[in-house]
Amino acid sequence: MLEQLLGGLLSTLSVGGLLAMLLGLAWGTIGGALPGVSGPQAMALLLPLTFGMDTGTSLMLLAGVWTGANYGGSIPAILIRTPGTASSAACIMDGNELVRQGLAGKALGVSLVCGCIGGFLSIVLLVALVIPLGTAALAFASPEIFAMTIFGLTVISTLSGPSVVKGIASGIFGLLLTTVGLDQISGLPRFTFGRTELLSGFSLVAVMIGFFAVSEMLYQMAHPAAERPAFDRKVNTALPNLRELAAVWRATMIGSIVGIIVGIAGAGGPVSSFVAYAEAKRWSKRPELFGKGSMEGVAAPETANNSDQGSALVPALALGVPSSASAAIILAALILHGIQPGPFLMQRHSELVFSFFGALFLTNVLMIPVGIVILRLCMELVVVRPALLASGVLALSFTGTYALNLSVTDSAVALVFGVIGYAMRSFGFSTAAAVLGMVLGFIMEGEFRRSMMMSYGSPDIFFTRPIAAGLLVLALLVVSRPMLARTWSGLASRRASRGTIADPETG
Amino acid sequence: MRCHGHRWAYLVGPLLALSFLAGCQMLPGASKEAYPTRPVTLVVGFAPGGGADVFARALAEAAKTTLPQPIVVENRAGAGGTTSTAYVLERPADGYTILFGHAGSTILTPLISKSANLKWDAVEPVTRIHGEEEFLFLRPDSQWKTIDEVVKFAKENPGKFRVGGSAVGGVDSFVILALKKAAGIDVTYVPFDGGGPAALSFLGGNVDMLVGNVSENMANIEAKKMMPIAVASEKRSSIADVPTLKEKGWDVVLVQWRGIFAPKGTPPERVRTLSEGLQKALNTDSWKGFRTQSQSVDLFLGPADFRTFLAAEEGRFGPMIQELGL
Amino acid sequence: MNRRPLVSPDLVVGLALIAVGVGVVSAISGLPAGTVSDPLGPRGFPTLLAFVVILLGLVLVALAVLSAIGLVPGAALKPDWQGDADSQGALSVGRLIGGIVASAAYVVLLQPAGYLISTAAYLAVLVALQGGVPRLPFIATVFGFPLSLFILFALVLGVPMPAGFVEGLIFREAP
Repeated sequence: MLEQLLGGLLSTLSVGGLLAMLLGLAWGTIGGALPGVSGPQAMALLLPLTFGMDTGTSLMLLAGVWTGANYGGSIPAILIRTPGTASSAACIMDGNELVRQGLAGKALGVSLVCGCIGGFLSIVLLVALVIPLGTAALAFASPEIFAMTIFGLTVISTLSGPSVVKGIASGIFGLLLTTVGLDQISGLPRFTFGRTELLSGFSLVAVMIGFFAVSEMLYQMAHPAAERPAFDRKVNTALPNLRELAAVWRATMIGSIVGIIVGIAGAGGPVSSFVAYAEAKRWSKRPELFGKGSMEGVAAPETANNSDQGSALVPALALGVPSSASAAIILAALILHGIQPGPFLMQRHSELVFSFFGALFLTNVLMIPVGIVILRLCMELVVVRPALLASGVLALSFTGTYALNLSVTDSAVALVFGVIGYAMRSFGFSTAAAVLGMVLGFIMEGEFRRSMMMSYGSPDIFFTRPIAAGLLVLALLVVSRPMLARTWSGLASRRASRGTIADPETG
Repeated sequence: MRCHGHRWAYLVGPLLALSFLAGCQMLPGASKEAYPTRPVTLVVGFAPGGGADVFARALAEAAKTTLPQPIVVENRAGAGGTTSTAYVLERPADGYTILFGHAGSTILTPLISKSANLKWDAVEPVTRIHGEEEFLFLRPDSQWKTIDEVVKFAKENPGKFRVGGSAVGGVDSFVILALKKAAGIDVTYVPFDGGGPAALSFLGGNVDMLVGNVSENMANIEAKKMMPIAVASEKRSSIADVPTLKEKGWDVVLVQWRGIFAPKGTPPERVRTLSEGLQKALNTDSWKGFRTQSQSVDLFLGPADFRTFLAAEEGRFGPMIQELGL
Repeated sequence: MNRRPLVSPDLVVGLALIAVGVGVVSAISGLPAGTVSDPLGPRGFPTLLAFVVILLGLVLVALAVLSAIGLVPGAALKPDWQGDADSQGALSVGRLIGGIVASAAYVVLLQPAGYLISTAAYLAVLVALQGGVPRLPFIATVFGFPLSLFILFALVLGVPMPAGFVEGLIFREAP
């Protein structure tokens, strides 16, 4: 196997291959960075180009786009609070805060390097274990995915801010937003009031851009700053050094693990990045920094949303069934080149598959220099007067949401939720919690109802299946942890005080 | 400090320049003889990588040699394909925007989601291209081996048999709905976000039977992880020799056909040009390769015949949808 | 304990939440109820959420009333803004409304007027609302930014932006 892998790597080292990967990386990073253009869309846009290439080079190109888009989305998220892709929204909270503190370079650098580490790790896992993982992927069915979203709900308390009641209300609001549109199980329209524009519901990216970017820019417009802070180029564009990168290793590991698990389940990028954020906070030595500019708060979500991509490829390669939009495009490219994906893919076309693996490895490594060039460029672009920046971000937000589906409805959604987000934040309601609710809501309702159908209408299925039950118990433990901790310390102190009075048992 | 009036003066300059630019040119002229002279956009109402998208791209590739200009695929997923219909309705009817449609997006989903204004008759049918047969699959290790055993079990155990397929409003779901009615059985249809997730869940043992096309599941059929046991066609399929539902006495004939549409009012000559160009594309090697690989059948119909076919299809499904109270 | 006025933001929001919850329940009531295998049905999830929202609204109202009477401290009203509140100025309602109206106009005019013109006009209005900037950056932004975005989205990525009546002349050959 190792020699197959080496062979694959070598096959990518041709002029054509390297060009394809570099072009793909650049294209993917730009596409991912532009709000409204997602990774899968960037890949799809190149599909016609691949018709003229041989299959191996096409896959190398697509691998580049994939890796690039995974990183690209976090650039605007960190710099201007505008998520380039849905999975990069979780970087906004701490990433943008770091930018305000004049540490843009550090934030972007951590995002780049940790993201590549996460991507690299998940590909190692993918390559080593693709067949057994394929079987594992089958174990993650609707009940498990539902349990995962319940676990994801516990993250809301992390995002709530000072008032838990308001945080939960925001989260529920987000969940409710996903019910607008066609019901995915019955096909019936809900809350559409007869309007065709609402048939497909509110687009997640449009709402995110509204809540995060538009509301913030409206705030900036409405509250003119008394004085503009001086921009120190040296401080702001400095990249993180090795010591700083090493300091976030724990968050990076957590992000990788969360991303890999969520990726195999097929629950998607936004879910993995938010859960990774919360878990990194839970296990961090400095949890109080989260939300105020913690580098771990950037490392964890960025690593997660890269590493879930590799593991989302597992069912695609092992079984021929994709569990993510990007994986679907890789398979489509194979089909359009006359190759049938499926369980026999690795046997029949092993050189192709291993050259693809090689490309995935190499693009993750190449991403770092390419990424550094691009992020330096972007940092220069953002150094403009606040009036111009706010105006530019607003224009970009509406442009990007238009580009989503070439529909003005999405831009209108961004505006409406921008205003709602502004109001919410004025009253102390967290927009991040609402976004999380939206991310989870669609999956939660669908997988719950499917699980009930699989269980002939009874909730047994959640308790008889070990992974699902385990996740639910875990969620329960997490939620009751504060109470348990207090009870535990209460018991411990009582026992200690009892011990000093008399110790009959121990004698 | 800048004074008030000074600020707004900045607006005047650029706006004047742009409007001058606009004013001194004429608007694009009406249709000329040659068509097409620039690329034609094919709007696909489903996500890239899915069955509809792959079909559209394969068709576009095949038509490269039969139409003077390339066809460019544009994805606008949402609401079972009806979002793309709504978009296309607002495009100029000049033949440069065309729409992908299948039974789900042009008939079933609009009727179920009460948006009949997005049905097939809101657009101009251009051609029907091909179709794929709808099969029913079982796992090799399941307790049933034939469709008769399945139906028998379902009759004796109402609500205890689970079938997986793509979203309600698509052809998959209608195969099962029609079967339920024709055979008088009560099975649970579990809809997924597409054939892929349905197949994954089926392979994992979470549903008992799968309904879908062969193209999406070819590899797993070959690997003997799933076996077709029946087909919803008029005659037995050449892909697998399994009984048709019709020969078993249940009138369930549903084909996953796919076709092309254009905004209403597109000039008939342009519709004809498209139709002929696409028909020729079906004879290219590129298309033949795709056809073999996807195990599909060419079902070409020109504009007039396609329209008749669509009316008949709606006639079949309309009452069924109403009866089922959808 | 600090007393707070009865009609506090918390009270208003609490009442609003209750209204939203009730609205959701009534809007969804026309849909079919669940079945044996799908007990939630199309109605279940939104109804469940609506009840939780109503509950939370009641909690907020209760907290608002209780804190007005002086029994409990009010729910934290700190706005969720990041960044230092002191460095931001006071609210200028004119700019806020202006920004919202300009954005709404932009969204409405984007397709008919075409991308380049409407984005340029939008940027110009926004900058003017914020106090204007010197001539050179202004022109560079108002002309350069829409053009760069157009190039990036439409030409590089192939995502077609609305042509409107201007671009139809510049960027497309006459049919």
